[in-house]
Amino acid sequence: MKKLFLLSFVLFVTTASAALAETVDITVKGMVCSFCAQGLDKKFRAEPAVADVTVALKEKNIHLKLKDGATLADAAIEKLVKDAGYNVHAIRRN
Amino acid sequence: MFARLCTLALCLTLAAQARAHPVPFKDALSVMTWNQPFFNETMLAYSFHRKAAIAAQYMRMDMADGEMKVVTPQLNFLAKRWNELDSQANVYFIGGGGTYEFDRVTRTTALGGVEADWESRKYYVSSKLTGLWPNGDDNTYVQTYRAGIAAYPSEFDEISAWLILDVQHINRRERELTVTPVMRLFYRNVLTEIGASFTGDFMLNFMIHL
Repeated sequence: MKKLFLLSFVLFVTTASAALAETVDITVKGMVCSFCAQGLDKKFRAEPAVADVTVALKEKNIHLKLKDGATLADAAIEKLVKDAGYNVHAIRRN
Repeated sequence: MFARLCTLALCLTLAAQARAHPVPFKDALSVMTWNQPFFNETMLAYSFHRKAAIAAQYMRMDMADGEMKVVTPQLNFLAKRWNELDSQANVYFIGGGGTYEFDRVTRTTALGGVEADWESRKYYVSSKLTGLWPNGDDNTYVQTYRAGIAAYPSEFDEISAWLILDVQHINRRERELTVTPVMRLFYRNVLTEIGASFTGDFMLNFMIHL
């Protein structure tokens, strides 16, 4: 019974933290040059909700790891991408 | 020659990232310097809007009959951008005015330009036409056409290497046409280019986005 309780607790904590730390994948149109894409990296890193940014030119993708409990609306993402000179093709949340 | 170069420019898809985007991302500060023995250009630009940047430019050129120096504040404007999944294309307009010094006489001048480019992760073409219209002196036109190919498909955190052919035409130079193979390297926010023309003139360019 004690083991079952512990297992349940571990599962709860793991699930809860996974739910808190949201990740976002953004497919970006026009992102073909790493020199020019620095603006995307810079703008997302400056966002208080963002914990980490990974840019993949081959996949045309920006992977965002948000801070625990933080959110970043689609409209805010689209504005940041537009200010950097690009357009959003798709946003997927995990 | 002028008409043929203009046609080439249109075929290459209009004019300007030949060198670098005149309007980088919003709030970016850019420093660029382009150098050949007969030509120097330095520009400081700040993008106050995603489509517009204010800039200060210094240009020096050795002409057939003397040295020319130009200092201009200017506005760089992104007129149109096409963002596709595998490519990007841009058209820019540039306008400004400032001082023009030639043969120890300083005059005022207007400056205007159009730039266009198209690039994918593998290929890159661009063209740029800059005109100077000094008060009481001959007009000067600088045209630059470029085509490049990536040495390898680089990722965001890797050094990128490009092989570029740069064709430059300045109407008031003794030798108007200069063709320069260039190696472009960039990593993160720093870009550098080194080349040597078929007539032996070096090219050394540098740019940084802050």
